[in-house]
Amino acid sequence: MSLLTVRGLTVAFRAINHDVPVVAGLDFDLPRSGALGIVGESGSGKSMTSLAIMGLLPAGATRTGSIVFDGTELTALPERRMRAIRGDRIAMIFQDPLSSLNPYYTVGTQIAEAYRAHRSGVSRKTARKVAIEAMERVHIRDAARRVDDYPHQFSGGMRQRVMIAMALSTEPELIIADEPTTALDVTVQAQILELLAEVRRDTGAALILITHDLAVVSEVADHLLVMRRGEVVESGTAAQVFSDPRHAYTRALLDAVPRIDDTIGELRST
Amino acid sequence: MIMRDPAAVACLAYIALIVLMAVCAPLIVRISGWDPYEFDQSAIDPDLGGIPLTGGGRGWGGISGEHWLGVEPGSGRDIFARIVYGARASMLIALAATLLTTVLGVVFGLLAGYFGGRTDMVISRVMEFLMAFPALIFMIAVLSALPADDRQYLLVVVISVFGWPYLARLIRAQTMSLKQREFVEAARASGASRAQIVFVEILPNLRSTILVMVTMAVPGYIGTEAGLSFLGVGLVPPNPSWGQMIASSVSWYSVVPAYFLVPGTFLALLVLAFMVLGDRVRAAVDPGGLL
Repeated sequence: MSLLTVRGLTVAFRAINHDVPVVAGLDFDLPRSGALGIVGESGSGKSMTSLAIMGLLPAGATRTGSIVFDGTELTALPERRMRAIRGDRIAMIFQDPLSSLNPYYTVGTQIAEAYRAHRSGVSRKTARKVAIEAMERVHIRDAARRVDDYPHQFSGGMRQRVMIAMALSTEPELIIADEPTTALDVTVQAQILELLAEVRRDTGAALILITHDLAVVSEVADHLLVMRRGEVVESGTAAQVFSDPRHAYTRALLDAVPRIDDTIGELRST
Repeated sequence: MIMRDPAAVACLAYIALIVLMAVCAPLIVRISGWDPYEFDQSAIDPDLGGIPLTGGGRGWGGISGEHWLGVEPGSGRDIFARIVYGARASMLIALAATLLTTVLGVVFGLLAGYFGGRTDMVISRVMEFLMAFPALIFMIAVLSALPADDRQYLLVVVISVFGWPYLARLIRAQTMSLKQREFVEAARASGASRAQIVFVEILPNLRSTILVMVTMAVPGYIGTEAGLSFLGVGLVPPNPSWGQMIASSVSWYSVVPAYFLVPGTFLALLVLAFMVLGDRVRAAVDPGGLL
């Protein structure tokens, strides 16, 4: 049985007298420990998909269809029970690691409190130990000392590691990473992607990676979903999509990636 | 860091002195020998309309070993004792009003900023109404119409009712921008409830704003209390208050300038000390100047 099954997911915003769909009838399955890449340009509905799964759509957006997570229908779940799942069984990593961390608290406090929020009766001391362990797991050197540092004392890549550590602390079954590397430079991007792949190997968590960068998904995801204007235009295993793109839009996306062995030709328009 | 700044230290020391004076007023008065309500006919000259006696060891305004800061013309009450007790009234009213405005301002600011929509509409309109309202005239009218027995409580309430929108407006604006930040979204994604988001994620980030507004509010309210007392709608005699002392000194100004100068100096220095301290606190908690 798959971990996450999405059927006919539609997200629409209410306009003056009609609904504007931003995600239209999305279907996909994510097996346990699987890695799904959702690729698309700005406004293709990829972030809305992740927010819809988390039940965190902005006001004015409506969600229809079915999202089944480990046998539980999330769309029918009351807010209280959804809150218990968020951050515990489904964790999320955001794009900008600086603004995703509260500047007022040390990173250790933030990881520890995120952990304690879902594990009632855990002492501060234990939670702190969990935080240090989580930071070590994402390869933050000298974690025992850095646990008391504030977010602004970390570099961008390190902050994203902190975010991943926070997501990992509760040992989620599903991690949704929404453009986790977009705010980072290329070398740090590679490190973070490697880390995500490693985390997935070690913990067996499933991963949904949302990005507009094909190079990023090619490294991490084993299944791919290409979205455009709220619809899936192509889906398949990563190898399939890359070697034999069936949709013209996917081809255009792939062609847009600069190649090292290519001669420079004219710009192609679709 | 703030302790290394001589101006801030001087201001803190002066504020501490006044607070100490206010707290230990009965004790201090026992040492100085006169309580604030006691008349001393021997210190004034009844033939000259009651101006303080000078000469014979007495200085300007009747300052002597017996009356450290002179005596009140007309009655001979000890000015030092009245300053000490006046500090009590000023500080109590200013601090109580600050506390009340801060609580109201933070709560309504957070509510309006975080929930937006209709809540924001209602709170914002109320704030605008209060800020556009001719507060001073209203205060004078209300305070003079109501019984004068428990003036100090009434003063606190009236000052606070018109004071909170200034803080709430700031808190509202900052909350609106903070709630858009990704860490709020991240907190929500990790299962935080609305109350947790407001009080654990957003409120601590407002701490420097609140701190600065509080240090700026205290001198404002000291001034307001003095002003209302000066206009005769503050504390009622014989309860001493600095503003009231300044008010009664006006008619003696040309004959006994010392009577005006003493409370005036105390008041001006206290307000100045709070203002400078507030400025330094702002610089210390917010070095980037985002506030």
